[in-house]
Amino acid sequence: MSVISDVAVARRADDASGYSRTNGIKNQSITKPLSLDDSSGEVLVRKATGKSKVRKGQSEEEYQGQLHQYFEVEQGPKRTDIGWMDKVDPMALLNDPEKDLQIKNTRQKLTSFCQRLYYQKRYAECAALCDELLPRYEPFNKKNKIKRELEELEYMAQQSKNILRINEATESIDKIRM
Amino acid sequence: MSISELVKIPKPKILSSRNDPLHIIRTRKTTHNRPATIAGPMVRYSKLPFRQVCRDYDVDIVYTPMILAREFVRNNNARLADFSINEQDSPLIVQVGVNNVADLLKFVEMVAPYCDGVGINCGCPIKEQVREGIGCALIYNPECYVRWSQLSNKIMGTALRLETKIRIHEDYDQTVDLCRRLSDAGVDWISIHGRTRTTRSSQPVNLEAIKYIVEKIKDKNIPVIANGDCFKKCDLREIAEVTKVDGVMAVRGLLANPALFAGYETCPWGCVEKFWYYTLEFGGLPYQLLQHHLYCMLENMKLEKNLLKEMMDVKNTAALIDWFETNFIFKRFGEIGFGEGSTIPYRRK
Repeated sequence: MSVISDVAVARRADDASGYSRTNGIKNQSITKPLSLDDSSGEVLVRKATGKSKVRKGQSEEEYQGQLHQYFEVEQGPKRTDIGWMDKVDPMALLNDPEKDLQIKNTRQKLTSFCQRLYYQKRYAECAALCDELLPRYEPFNKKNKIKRELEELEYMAQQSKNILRINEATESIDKIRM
Repeated sequence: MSISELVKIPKPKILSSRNDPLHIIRTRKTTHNRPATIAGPMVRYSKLPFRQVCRDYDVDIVYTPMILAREFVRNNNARLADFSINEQDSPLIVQVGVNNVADLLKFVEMVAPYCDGVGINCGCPIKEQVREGIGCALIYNPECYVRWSQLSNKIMGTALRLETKIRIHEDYDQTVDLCRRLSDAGVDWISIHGRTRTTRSSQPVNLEAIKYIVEKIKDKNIPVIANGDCFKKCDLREIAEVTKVDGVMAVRGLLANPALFAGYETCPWGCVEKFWYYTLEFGGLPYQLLQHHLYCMLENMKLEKNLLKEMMDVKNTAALIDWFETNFIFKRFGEIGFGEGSTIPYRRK
């Protein structure tokens, strides 16, 4: 990146004595990171214990890889306009071999379809989608790590079915009365 | 062909009177007879649904939460978690937490096409960040900070605005000196939080300090935004009158009442319904975040304490929807009266 070459060398800026413990309270000192490599962003910072820690830099090659992933593959940041979910089929997402259900973001995206259907009182669709997701999530519940996610899906499926049953019963009673 | 030759980076958006934050800040007093209203950055909380709610209630400019440049430029999962946008999300300032110039310039390159300005966080007092040289550590590191601003300004040109949010020093003249140097470096406007890095938020904001700084940098003709203790609309006028700033930034005040700039004394019920709608429409929020937002709004509305406590025991988003349905007349988007209520519509009363 051309701008990096313009970067001035950052000077060592260790804790200035004037800024340490100014109010008599511990751990109030200011860390001024020491820049180890201006082009990669490698810096030396001080941890709470007082020890130094190197924050690794990023090579130009790695950065170019991220640029490619971000601009070319992801097409920029996530865009969520009103109604975007109406244009996406969650089942297609679920069956997309590139979508890895081990990744939390992928599962959250799919679960959010269920939550929206539940909020919109589209209970039949909600129950159906929850029933599809549950068996696909379960293999990833190692050491109960996604227990809460499964519980929410089970909750939505169960509640949706209960409401549908109540609605059906109410309709039947209404028909009999008519 | 190398990867870099293949990557096509979109151009930044064109700034117009509608989305240019600097234009808005400079003209609001003339066009609206009030200072510019700004929703400041809140770590974790200023996500897209909350930003959209703020925009519905007379907020002119909205910030993202502080995004750590180091993570953003290195990790696509961090990008997914930290930054989402939509067509309505403008004027938008993306706030960055950073401790070196390489990450800053890379970050600017990556967010420039999707926002209207970048704000460098020099006000965050969280000790974990300060130890890393991020946030208000930067106001004690002016050489680097001013140089970074110059470089950012150089690559951003006029296509993107550059802001910086600082805290005051114990010696106000140090802040004056910093502001003058930042102005010379090409920063478009400066937001000043009227507390030092060690002042607790329970202490009142120091408006006299902001006033002093504004007076001392008047010749630079750089707009200044005051931040701190804006909880009601009357605070907006009072802060602007005392300090003579061009705009006022609210943060905690908006978390409790996103409608404060629209003149609502407490959070209106309609705001809660809209927040729910946007949250689910935009793809959800982490549950604890959603719960905390609703807690702040309902507490501001003086919801009965036992109900507040009960709400905090609810375990997930779907169960929370049911809890709202059980306790309140909870309108969905499209239903008559959605987003219009002011007081809490208790179902059992």
